[in-house]
Amino acid sequence: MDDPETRFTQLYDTHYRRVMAYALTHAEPHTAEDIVSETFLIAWRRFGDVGDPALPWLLGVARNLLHKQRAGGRRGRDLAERIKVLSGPADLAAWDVADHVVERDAALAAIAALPERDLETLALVTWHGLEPRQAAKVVGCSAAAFFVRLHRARKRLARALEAGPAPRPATPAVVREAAR
Amino acid sequence: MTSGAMMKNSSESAFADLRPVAVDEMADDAFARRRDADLSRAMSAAPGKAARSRRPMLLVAGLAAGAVAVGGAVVLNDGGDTGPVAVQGPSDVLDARSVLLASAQKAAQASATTGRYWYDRERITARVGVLAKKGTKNRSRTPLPFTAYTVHTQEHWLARDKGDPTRSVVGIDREDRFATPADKAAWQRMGSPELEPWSRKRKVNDYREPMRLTIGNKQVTFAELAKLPGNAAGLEAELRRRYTADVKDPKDPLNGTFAQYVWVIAQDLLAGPVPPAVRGALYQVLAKQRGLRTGGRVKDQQGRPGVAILMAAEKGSRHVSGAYLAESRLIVSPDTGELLAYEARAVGGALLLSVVHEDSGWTRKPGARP
Repeated sequence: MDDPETRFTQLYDTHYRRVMAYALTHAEPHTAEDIVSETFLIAWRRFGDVGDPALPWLLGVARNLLHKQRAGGRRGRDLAERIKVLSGPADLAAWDVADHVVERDAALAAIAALPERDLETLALVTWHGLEPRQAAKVVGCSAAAFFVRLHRARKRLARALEAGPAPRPATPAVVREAAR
Repeated sequence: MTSGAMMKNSSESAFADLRPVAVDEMADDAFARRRDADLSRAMSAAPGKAARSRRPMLLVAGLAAGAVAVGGAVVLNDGGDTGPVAVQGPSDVLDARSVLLASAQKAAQASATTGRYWYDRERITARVGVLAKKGTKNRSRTPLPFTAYTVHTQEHWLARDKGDPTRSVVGIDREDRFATPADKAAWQRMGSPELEPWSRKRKVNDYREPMRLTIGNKQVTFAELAKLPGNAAGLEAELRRRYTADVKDPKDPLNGTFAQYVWVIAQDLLAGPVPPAVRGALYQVLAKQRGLRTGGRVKDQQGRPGVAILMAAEKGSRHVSGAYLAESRLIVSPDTGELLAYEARAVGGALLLSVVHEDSGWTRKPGARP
């Protein structure tokens, strides 16, 4: 159990899918795989730094790598676009079963108008199952600041879904930048 | 429930349901395809310090230092091309204590400076333990049919202050070395596999998150390091206090003796971002510890002369290559008080790891050297 290789393999086996799910919602599959690979390489080299629970730490590393990659020129797709690309018939079927007020496409268009940071905030909590406190670690802010972010994001989400799809902002990159 | 709360809940559940199911399938698929390669690739590097063992240690968390294995060294075979051979002077009158006390005096005399970044440059020679190859054969500690080393240089700029980025550059002047021509031939027969992919090319990593240093299990800031007592009695009391707290930590109790704790701290801090007085005091605290021996006059892997101070490894501890560790050594220069290198050697004397401290000091910005 003390053996670092064993502990690392356990870390990988336990968390790979969740880190990969996170990366897939921010980058294309090939890039996402490389990002996750790099994330675990960093985890090995910085093993002593990996927190407990490990997932927020791993997602924080993956997030930095994703940001860095965007800064490097190959601009990443934003979250709403990734959802669109990854959606299939099974998602439509599940959506219908859940009996939401709006159509899935309409919901997707509505959230696409939200700032990227709102989507990230909501995704960490609802998709990736993090406690707000843990999500705060991922994005590198205080828990209090994250609660504020989450509260605002929830409000904007509710408003967006209520109002229906809004036009996409003309300069998404700027919005994204401002949202960081 | 108010209609506002209902709206929030229904909108959030709508958001939750937007998560495409394909994400899970793709994650499963990637896991199956990438697992073996990812694990071998990662573990072909030396693990981060805390991964090495449950012994106490100070580490620079956050560095992409592949360097810090517990390693041991190998008996450097002078028929091979693995670098200078460490020569022990058996009749040396030096003892560990007097070497350390002489070093303490010199170290404390350096002038105290500070800066925004702590810079260090290290030349790392590491025994290859596993190969970053697909398939699990080598990862499961099957010994490689050859003895090889990767050698490369790393530079780090650790930000002293919160908010400043930290930089590490790895893979500088990477070389592969083999213990003997026969080892090289065995490697070639395997198709000349890459020995350590991550250090193959020079790579600059900038980290936004603050780099945390730790003493034992506890993180320390640069400010705390600067405030460590600059006298032996004060420093020893402080380290004992920290040691006791770590040993009693219910969540992650520290194993190992106080001497081991000090030894690991010395590995990092004697060439680390502490004031000269603290460095001098640390040499003195180390000099008081039992179980240290001198290996006499040696040269580090860069050929610089110094004196080796040895500490036996815990029985049964193994390097990632499967070799049993015999001892770790600090190579110090009693003339200047500098820590020249840290080495780990296997039973039989073979080199497992050498970290040569080539340069360190405070700088104003990343990229600048002292």
